[in-house]
Amino acid sequence: MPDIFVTKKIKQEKKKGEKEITPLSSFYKNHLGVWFQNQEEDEEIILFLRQHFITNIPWIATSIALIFVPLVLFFLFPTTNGSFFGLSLFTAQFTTVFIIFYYLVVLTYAFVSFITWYYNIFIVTKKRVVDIDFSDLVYHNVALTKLNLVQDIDYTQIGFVRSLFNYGDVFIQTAGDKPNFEARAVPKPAKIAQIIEDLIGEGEGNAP
Amino acid sequence: MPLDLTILSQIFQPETLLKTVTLVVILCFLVFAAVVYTQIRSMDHIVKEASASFIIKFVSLLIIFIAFSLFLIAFVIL
Repeated sequence: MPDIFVTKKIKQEKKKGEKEITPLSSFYKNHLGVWFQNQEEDEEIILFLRQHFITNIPWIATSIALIFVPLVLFFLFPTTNGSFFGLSLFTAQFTTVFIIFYYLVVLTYAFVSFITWYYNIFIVTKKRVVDIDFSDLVYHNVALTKLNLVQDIDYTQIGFVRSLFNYGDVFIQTAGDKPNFEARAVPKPAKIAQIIEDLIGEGEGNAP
Repeated sequence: MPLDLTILSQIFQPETLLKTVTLVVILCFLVFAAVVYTQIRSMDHIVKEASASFIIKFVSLLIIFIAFSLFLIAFVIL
């Protein structure tokens, strides 16, 4: 009997506006399914942000173009014995290994580009702002600041594409020696700035 | 004792050099793929997203597996 009530309770909680995050999400408010290092048990994630998905178009287009390069080369330099460019040095076996390796490199290029986008995350909780930077595979940086140390928030949205797809940069200025935070090319920058301002307002309201 | 130049000439054959270069490049790629996997594991400890964590790890391991298989194939057939 109690199980029925538990299930109902869970369903009710999800109805409040929480959503399961998907791998391609770049803007989520009040979602489930994400955990970050040093997250406190009662620390609720309010915003989960990545760069707008449209920023992935350059590497996606490059990857698609690279897929067709060998096909174009074989069309331009047709061979009868399967060797590369008809040169005797590049045997059919070598050509096979080369092409498999080429496509493996293209796959890796696309994958690394994807995870670079995927792991550049900006999180706002009810207590803190967390900026996770990941670039060039060998560098990652995690910066945190408490919401009560945030002094100023502003955003910029410059350019036709950014206006069209509604994304821009959000800057968070913190007190003292703490580094300033930047969320680059995130969707709905005005809404993000508004939500963070509201959170700071709530914090100040609760302060003694 | 006269120097046996036949071994040297065999080493510097274009086919041998090409095979060596190919194997070294694939080996370097294999190391790179391993670095990608370790970075993903490291990032997985920093932020975890239940819906995609498994898929990303799987793809990175798949790349390592293909690279290793390719290295073995290249070693045998070239």
